[in-house]
Amino acid sequence: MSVTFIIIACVAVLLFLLITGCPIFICLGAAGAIGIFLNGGISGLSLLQTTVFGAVSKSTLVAAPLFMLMGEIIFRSGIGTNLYNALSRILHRLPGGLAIATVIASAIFGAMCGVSIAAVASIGVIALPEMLKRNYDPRLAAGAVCAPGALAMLIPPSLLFILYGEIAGVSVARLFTAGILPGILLVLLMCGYIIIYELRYSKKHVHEENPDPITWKETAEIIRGLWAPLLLIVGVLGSIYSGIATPTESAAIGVIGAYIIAAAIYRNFDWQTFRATLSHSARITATILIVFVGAVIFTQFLNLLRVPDAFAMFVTSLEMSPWITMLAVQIMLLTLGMFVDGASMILITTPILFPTMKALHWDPIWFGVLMVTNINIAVITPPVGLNLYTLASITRDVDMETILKGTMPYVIVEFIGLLILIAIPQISLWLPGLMR
Amino acid sequence: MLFNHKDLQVRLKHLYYYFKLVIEKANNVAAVAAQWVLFALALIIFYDVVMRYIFSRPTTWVLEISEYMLVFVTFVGAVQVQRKKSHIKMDYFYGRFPLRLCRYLDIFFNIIIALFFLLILLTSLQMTLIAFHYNSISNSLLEIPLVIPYSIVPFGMLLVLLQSIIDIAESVKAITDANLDEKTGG
Repeated sequence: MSVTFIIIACVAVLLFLLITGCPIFICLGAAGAIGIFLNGGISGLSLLQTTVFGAVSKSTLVAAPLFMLMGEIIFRSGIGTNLYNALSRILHRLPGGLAIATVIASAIFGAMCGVSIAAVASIGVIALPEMLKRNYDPRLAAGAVCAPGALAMLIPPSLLFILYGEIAGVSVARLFTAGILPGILLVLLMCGYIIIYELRYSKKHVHEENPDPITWKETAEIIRGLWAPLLLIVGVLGSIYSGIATPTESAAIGVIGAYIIAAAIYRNFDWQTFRATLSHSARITATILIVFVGAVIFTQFLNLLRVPDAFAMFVTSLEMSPWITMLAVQIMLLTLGMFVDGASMILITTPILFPTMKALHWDPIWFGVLMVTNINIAVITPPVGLNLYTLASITRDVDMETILKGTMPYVIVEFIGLLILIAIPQISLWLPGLMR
Repeated sequence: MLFNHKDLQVRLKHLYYYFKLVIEKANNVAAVAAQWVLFALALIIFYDVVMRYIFSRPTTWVLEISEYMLVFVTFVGAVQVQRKKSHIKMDYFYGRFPLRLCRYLDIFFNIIIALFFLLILLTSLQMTLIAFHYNSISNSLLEIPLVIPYSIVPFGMLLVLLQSIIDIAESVKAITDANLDEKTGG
């Protein structure tokens, strides 16, 4: 059987299963297994013996469930509420102050939590009604909740970076460090957009003063409640950045620290919540790592037939300018990301694109940052924008149309951010370059 | 004939009911086990960090054991994912298909899922048996008999396979029930 036929058959199987709505781990796993079988027969399949076990028994991958558990604890502890309250008190005099507070609170929340919908759910619940009460434009308010929630994927710790690092063979610690400045860049761009919007339309939406503002004394109390979580962020990220601890070790510190903070400071953390954090994280871990196993099987099939190398040769033979290639790749990723979730997208595309990336001398860390930024845009773009649906599911104050219209400007803002990151790789590479 | 057609049907139904009950119980135990293994995973790595940085006495076993624990959380935890149908999928088009097509697709997917789990079960079982036969031990200070960590995968896969067989039965039942409803005008 010709190699070309096998490849076409497997890609056809993959796409058919993907589009009809088959679980993604099966799309990847079945397409990979069929390919391996067509190529090497039954004996070829015995390759899977070591593949499946080896895919998951990796110490770097252990960081993934631990960071998810840490995020889950933070999510259920109520830290998000305090974070938003403190920031909104400090920032409320700025034009669009509450929206800016939402953006920054989501970003800080993202530094404790690696998945994008957690910030939308925990900060959106309090920030959105507060903004609407104070006569903010519902669109602006909805957008300010929806878009920055995705920053959790870019701002370390990030699940996507762990998966990408594992597949591309890049240091997760460096990827985490690389995400910091691009995350800050996107926060600044979003805040800039909010300020410009508010200055332009401030006459239309005059914000009412908070009828019963929290006093500075209360604010001080809230901030006092926040020092521990902030210390946790600094400890976790600082230990990774300084090279004292591996991402896995700092994740374990993060988990224990988060449990202590949740139990000591936030009294609502009881036995049932504790069990819920475990059961939810265990399930999410299995959900994502099963897709990971599927992706490893598919990657093995691709590498067996040297598909990624062939793809790299094809791309370089086109002799396009690297910028055009980069733009084409990003648009392709963006299109795919409109339909597939972030983790699956990384797992499907990284093995195919990696040799191309090497052939064009793109830094894998830089490319990882671009990819995750891209996914940031994807989760707020319909038809499958995870954050859009998350917000719609937690609120009745705004409808889907308002959410969509409010979030669209952020798609443009983030795309501008993506272009800046493409044009200036140093934003992503400067900090990791300083690491030992 | 020992029993007539109807009798057999009733007996089979009972058998299926008990099968489902047993699998459900087993799955619950597996799910809880995966959760506590996850918690233990965080604890032992934290213990390792404390021993290394505070007492300067790094452990020799945590790294290796933590990898096996992750295998456990993934493959035994997969049972819960299968049962709660919380697999990641792209359901944009699926959500727009007619209900009838979705039901047939469900049967089709469940069969592929079962076949895939069967494949992983068989290959990982083969690896486990080989490790058992040759008394392989891990390439580390711990020298753990590899049959122990290796057997986690077939164990988890067996549970998921049984669950996916139930899922096939349920998806077939959904179709026959729907057909029956149509016939009776319900």
